[in-house]
Amino acid sequence: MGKREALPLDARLLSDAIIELNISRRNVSIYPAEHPAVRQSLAKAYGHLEKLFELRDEITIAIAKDTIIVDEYYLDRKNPVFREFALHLNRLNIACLTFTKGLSRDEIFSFHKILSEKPSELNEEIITKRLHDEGVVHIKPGFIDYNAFVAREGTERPGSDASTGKGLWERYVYGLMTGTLVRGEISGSLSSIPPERLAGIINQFNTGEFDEESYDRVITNYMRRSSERALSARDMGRLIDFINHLRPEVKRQFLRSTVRVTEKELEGVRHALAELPVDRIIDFLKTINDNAIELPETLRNLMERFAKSANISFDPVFVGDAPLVDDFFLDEGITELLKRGRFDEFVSETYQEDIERIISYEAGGEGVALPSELKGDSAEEITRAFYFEKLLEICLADSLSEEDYERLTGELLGMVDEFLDTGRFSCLIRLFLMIEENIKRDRFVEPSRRVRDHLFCNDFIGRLMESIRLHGRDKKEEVMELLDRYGEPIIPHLIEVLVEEEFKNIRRFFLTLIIHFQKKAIPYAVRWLGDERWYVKRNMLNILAECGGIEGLPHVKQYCYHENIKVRTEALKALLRSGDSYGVEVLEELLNSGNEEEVELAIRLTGIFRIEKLKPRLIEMLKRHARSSLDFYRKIPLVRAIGEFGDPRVIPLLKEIFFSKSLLFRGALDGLKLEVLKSLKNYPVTGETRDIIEAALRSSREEIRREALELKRTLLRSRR
Amino acid sequence: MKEKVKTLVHAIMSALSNCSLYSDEHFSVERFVKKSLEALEGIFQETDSIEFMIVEDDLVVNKKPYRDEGLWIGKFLRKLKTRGITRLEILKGVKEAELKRFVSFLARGEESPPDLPHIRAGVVDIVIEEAEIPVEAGEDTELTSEQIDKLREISSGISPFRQLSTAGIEEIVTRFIVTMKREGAILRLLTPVKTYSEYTYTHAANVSVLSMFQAECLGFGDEFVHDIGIAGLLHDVGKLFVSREVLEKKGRLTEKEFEEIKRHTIYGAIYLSKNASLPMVATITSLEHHRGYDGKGYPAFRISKSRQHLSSQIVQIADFFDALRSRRPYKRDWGVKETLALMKESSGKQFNPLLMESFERNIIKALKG
Repeated sequence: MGKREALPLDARLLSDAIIELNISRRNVSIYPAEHPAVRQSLAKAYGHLEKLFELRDEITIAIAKDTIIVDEYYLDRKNPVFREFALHLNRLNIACLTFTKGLSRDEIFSFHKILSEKPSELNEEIITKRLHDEGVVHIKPGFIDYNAFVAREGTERPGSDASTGKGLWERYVYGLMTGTLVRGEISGSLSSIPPERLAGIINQFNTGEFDEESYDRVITNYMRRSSERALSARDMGRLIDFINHLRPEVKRQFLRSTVRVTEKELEGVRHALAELPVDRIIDFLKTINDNAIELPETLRNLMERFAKSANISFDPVFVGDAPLVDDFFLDEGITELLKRGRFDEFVSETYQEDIERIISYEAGGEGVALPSELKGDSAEEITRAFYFEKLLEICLADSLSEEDYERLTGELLGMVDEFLDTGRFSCLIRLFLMIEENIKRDRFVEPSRRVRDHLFCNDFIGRLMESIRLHGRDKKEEVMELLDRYGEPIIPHLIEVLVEEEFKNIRRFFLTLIIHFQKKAIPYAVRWLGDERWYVKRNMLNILAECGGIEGLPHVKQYCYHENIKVRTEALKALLRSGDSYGVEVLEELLNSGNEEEVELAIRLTGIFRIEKLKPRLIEMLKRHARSSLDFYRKIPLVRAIGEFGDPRVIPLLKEIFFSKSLLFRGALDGLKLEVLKSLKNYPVTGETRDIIEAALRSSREEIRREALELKRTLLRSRR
Repeated sequence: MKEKVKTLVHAIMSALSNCSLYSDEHFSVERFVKKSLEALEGIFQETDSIEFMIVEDDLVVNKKPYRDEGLWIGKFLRKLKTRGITRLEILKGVKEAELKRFVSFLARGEESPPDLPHIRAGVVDIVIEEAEIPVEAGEDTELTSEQIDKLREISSGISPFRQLSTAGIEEIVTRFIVTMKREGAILRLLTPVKTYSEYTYTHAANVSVLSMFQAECLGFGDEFVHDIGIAGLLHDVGKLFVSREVLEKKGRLTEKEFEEIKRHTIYGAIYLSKNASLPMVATITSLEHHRGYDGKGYPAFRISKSRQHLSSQIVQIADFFDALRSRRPYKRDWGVKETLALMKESSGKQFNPLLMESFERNIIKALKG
């Protein structure tokens, strides 16, 4: 249908009323009730409906998604007003609206008022209640009942009608209007089988079992829905498709049957043919002729009349001398071209044959093995990444309008969320590059800044942090590069994650990321030093220690005597790394404190930071006579720390230790000797070190022999 | 409830993306599957199952429509549709392994959904009483119940799914025609091109066939073959925006004119990117089909040094082949052998040598047959 003239009077009046209803709906949502625009549009809508009620007491419109159906007529689907009105009702889950005689202007106003509220705040119960409360009794909505959408097992091929849901709404509305909707379990009905499939099924049967009536019955029943209302081009098309897919002998029988059945419905056929593309009618006539089916004269005349319209199908509107097709001006040459397809001008007969052979070629399994990288391009995720990159490139093209740029950046931002979930940080980096490039070129500056603002908003950064937590360690370089794009503003977010993170390895990773910012991170770490949690203090001190610089030192000193040794250690590290003399003073104090834990910490840090000033003190401690096995064990960290200096003057002392003997504490002494041996790699090779190694090779302790062997090999390698 | 559903869908889609990108066993898949289960637990406090239905472009969750609910709902809907599922039900008691298996099915595109005790996938339909053919009802019919069963059996036996996976003789033809018919909107995109230049239209159709042929020969599945067919069909759509004088000029082009012609790749990509229903490879190919395997073509500007997408590489071969084989006012049509010989010269430079090898091998075979 669709054409207004084809509608009966009541449907036409209703279609006019709907146009006015849509206008008044908009006005009501914008202006107050007294506004002239509201009053006028309501009066018009009311006027049309009033006329309508002179013809009938009640009229119902059904909404099939974006289409309005009145009785059995579709209102023009291309009309944007009908479409908008339908979509508006559909969004509110309204499947049909019944207008009854007695309707007042106030009711229309209230109806619009209620329906102009946010769809998300409206549902069936609320709408029904509100209409009742407002006294709207002459407009009754019927709501979509999703129970009518039933399930069946299996899947459909992508792109098939069932998988796209095409026709579901129409069938739903049809069932609703005719009261034939079946709810609950599906029966496996054949009615939903597409024509070609139905033909395929029938092709399987032995036609001997069928008589003329059987064919008529199938045709009648296949068109049965159509017979309830006017036969549509779609019904006719389905029928032709069905017949075309039948095998030859069955096809003839069904063609005869079709002629018999349709002959009884000439008016319907006329309507359907008027809407059917001419080439389809010609093809159908050809099929009838090829099968030597005799057409009744009236039917033949009718079909031929519509078929002949092919000869006048190219009849464009002219604007001046130029013909206009849609909104394209065509010159004479093109007009000629369209009248006669001249494909042979481009495609030779042999090439055409080649193309046909290619089309019918059955691809075997002899393809070239593609590398997995290329094979992977068919995967949606990979394609999306490519697509993202192409959109970025388009955004840099000179010929892009600002409107397109805004559209594309909107799409890009939508995709970025997805890349966050899969840790594709490089895509984000490229997005930054694109907007920076455009800003640099002084083009699309404002929209580019808006994109930048989005990337910097807390919500987005929150998701970015989550993504870095999850994927960052696998893509460290990408993350670092991305963080560089963000610069300093990202540091507080990184610290927040670090502070709350429960997993040690993720904490460590975030520490690395923060430390990557070096001195820029210091003020942020200082800010967090005041946090009461000891581990937060420790981490911040760690950042200060690793980032160097003197800015944070005044804040650090107070933690050198913190109750928690881990905090104390980090504070000292921070001071020592920056070469602060206060750190050395504290260290010296600790060395002399007599507290074993503190002494050991001081020894370790003196070695790590090679505090020359305290080296003699360590040597002195090492020289002390050991009176117990514990004394020997205490010397182990001393040997290790002194080894960090690599001072050759210590070698004789080491040799002395190595060659010393102890009857009572042999085990402890061997532990110390092993440490001496390990530390030798830090010293220059001398006769004394060789003596130690040779002696170690003869040791009765396997560990010592192994270490000596390893050391000897290392020395030999370095000599080579 | 709505927020819970959105969280669930987001988690499922993230698991799916990670599964496609990495592997079923990647820790991020497990993490998002766990998140999905957490979201489901919240939902199951209110109801014993969650049912997703796709009714045209709407996602209906437990009989309530979810419209305009953002990116993830839209992606989820499309993903289910491409897998041929318009109804999905997840029941209370669903296990992590089941969810993981289902996510893997969605990601990998296996032919049919796995049989899982707490996850049911199917199709939504509408049943209208009187539309049932009477043979079903057993009235006024000569068909027996056995025959009806047979109908059902055959009906499922000829499911388009199976038909397409067995690569029949008429497969490419059918698909091309079906594609042309089904993608009405795409043909509308081309209509202006047809009115512009009949050659462009013919060329687009040929490139589409040749591209699908290559993809088939390389063993790609239906979805990619379909998408590349569309990409081939629309690769030159940007020419619509190039002035006709320049496009059809005889003789030597000025540098400026050539620059304008080169821009058709960008114009086309912009034009196609506006149409969300088109496969992404159409936009990618439109932009890249003149770049070449060695990256020396146009457009020259880049955001990174990434290579051409496979679809662009395939369409480029088809494009070149058809251009040489076609007859133009200023050139004769070249024969297959000389066309292939010339193309081989550019193998490893303009064309990917592997794709070129496959194209040559199969086209010779196809034309011999």
